[in-house]
Amino acid sequence: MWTIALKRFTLLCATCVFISLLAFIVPYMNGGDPARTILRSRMGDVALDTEAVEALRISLGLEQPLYVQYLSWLKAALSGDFGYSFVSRAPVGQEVLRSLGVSFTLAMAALGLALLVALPMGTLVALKPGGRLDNIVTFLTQSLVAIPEYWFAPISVLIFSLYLGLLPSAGWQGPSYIVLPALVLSLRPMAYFTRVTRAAMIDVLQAPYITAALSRGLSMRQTVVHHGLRNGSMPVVTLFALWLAGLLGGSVVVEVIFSIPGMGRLIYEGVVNNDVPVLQASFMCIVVLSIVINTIADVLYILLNPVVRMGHVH
Amino acid sequence: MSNRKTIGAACALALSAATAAEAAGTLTIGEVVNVVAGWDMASDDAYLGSRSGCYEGLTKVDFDGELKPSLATAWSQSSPTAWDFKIRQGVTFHDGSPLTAEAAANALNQLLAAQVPARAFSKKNIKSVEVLDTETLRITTVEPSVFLPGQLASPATTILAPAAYKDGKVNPIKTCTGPFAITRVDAKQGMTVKRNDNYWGGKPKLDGAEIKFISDANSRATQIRTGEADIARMISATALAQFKNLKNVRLEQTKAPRTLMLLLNNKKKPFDDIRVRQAIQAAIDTSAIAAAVYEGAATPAMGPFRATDPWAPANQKPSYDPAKAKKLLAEAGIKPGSLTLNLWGYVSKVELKDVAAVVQEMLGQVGIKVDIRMAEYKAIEPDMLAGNFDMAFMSRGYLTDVPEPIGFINADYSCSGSFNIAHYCTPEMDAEIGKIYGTKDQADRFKMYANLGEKIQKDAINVFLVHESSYDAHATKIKNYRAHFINYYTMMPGLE
Repeated sequence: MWTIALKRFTLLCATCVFISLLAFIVPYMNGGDPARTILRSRMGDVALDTEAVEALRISLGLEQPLYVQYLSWLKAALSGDFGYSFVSRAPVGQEVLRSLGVSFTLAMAALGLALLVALPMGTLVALKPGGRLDNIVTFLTQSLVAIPEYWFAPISVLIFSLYLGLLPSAGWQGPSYIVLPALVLSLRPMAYFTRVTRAAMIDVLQAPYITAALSRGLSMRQTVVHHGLRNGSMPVVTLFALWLAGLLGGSVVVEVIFSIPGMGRLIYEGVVNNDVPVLQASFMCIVVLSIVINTIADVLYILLNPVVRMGHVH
Repeated sequence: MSNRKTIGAACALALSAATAAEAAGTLTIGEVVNVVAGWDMASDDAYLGSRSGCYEGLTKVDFDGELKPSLATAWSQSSPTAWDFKIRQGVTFHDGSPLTAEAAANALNQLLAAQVPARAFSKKNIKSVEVLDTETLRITTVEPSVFLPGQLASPATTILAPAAYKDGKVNPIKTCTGPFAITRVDAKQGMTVKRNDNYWGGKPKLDGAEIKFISDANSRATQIRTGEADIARMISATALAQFKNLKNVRLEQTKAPRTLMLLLNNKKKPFDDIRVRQAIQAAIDTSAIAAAVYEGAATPAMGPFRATDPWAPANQKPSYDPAKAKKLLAEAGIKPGSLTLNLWGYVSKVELKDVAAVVQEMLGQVGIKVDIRMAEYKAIEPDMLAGNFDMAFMSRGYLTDVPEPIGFINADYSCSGSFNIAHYCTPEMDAEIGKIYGTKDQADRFKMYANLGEKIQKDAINVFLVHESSYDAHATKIKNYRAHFINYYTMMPGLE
């Protein structure tokens, strides 16, 4: 256990250093003068005064060599100070934490919805592989994977906001604002979760302990719920963790369409506006969280699977 | 709204209810930009403060482009470099403190002391701001300038109460003088304004407004169609068709002072030859671009300015004449098919890829091959500024900081201009631009702009393609709404 923890911690540190370097370089990769880009994002105008550009460059320390800028950031970051946004001049920590909270809520709602549908659906079709229901679900899951969010989001707004008038079309002001974006984001994980649950359950249902449980007189329902689902849901736990980490920074399309102030938008705007401190803190946060989430998933995996828990598998 | 809220709340587990009920006389506005720079006066945030009905300056530009008194009742030039402003008496900031000459001087001096200067008001052009007496402010410029009163209408030069400025930061809550007071700000999501019952210009009719920041143009269009917003700013040309048959929504067109240009690199061959530039100009049918790409939502350009501008040259004519283009190219010694030019555009303006294809086709008709490169603006800007390009698209507003095109002409067409991407430089043009700065009479200045506009078009320094229009949508129940041509105001006291 301690070896795993140490390995994870070393991995975390190395990844953080690598990602912080990457975040530092990304805005410079497609050229452009960072001071002009930052000022343009504040002014919304292309014609900039040379004096203002130079004043901004000096005030942000951008006239210094890149390695000096990086090292001074690293020094401050090690003491927990991620600095101020180049654009808004607000403390980066606050901006990132707030956006992270929004994205986490959205991702959990989307993945929760996906699980609610996928677990029963995957289990149901696994009971009769190759049956009519299985074929329909396979067709649906393959279709859902192919539906892009930038298409489904406006369609869902048209149906639920414009024609039915049930839900707000954009914003992040209360529970009702979560429903549509969560629905849009849930489609693809829902499809993957269903497919994975189906495959896992088909394997599990053929296992000898299921036959043993049935022969002990347990009903099919009891067997599936108490013995099958516990084992069949394990791959979904891993998948859930991966999706959660991905959605924390990767739902930029949905966040733009629904005007949600989440991590995707924060990172996207950070790249567009050369906002290096925001990018570094955001990437750092996502990396740490991804590793933490995956570690939790591994622990859950151990708790769910007695074979792993008892040390029979390494 | 209540239906939406009820079902939405039920769907989303047991969390608390969503938005507050709309009070009577309260508007909801879909605004394009959010608070980007912590209310820095040199940023777009100042425009947001002005549009919210909170910010006011010493002067203002009305909806017809006329300069009018605001927090100053009168102004006069006491010497070529000094202007005296009479401060309006009886005005109070939203925190109850009185507007005085000292308070106004403090606000402008804070702006001058800013780390990153505002283009409209900086130490580069302003020497000092002094209090002459309790009612009079003197502003001294570095060079003689007739534009100072116009600069003081820019949202960047807003006068806020002394309490607004602390540690180099600006706080607009309870510190403005306008018809509406900002009461709540969420920099990413939106802000709330409430009526200022003590407004010096009379009691505003509305109770207030909820201003939502929605960057996506389609989402803003949807908000007004669903009734979630009463006013949606900057509806994109492609979304206009959605509103055609809607009886409860009205579109306000603003002929924005904004032109899409094809910049030509004048210092590079073959554009150092005026005949080649004129040939490009004659080969492009701007009417076809306006009709095909913009579906009529833009006006074909016949020069840098709109024909309706008071400084537009008289008798502007379309320049499209492919036969003339071929003749000019032949005279310049360019054989059909022998010339390949690169054309750059930026991806953030989605219609540019279509305009690029049309221009490529039109230039192909006169024997010029065009290589199109679409990229992020920041990626191509360094090469454009350095002159490493042939042709590039640029959508550019020509009224910056003052309601006359002086800033645009100086930046784009003077030798030392900060945005002279065409790399055009002649002592004659510089002398003409210099004269405008010293011309007191506005009518005379307008004639000078017209002459320059004519020369820019005649010499085909750049090719002007279309003048872009902006559209605001509002519910028909909203009365007295007007879209301001340079986006200074939305929440006006007469709005109801």
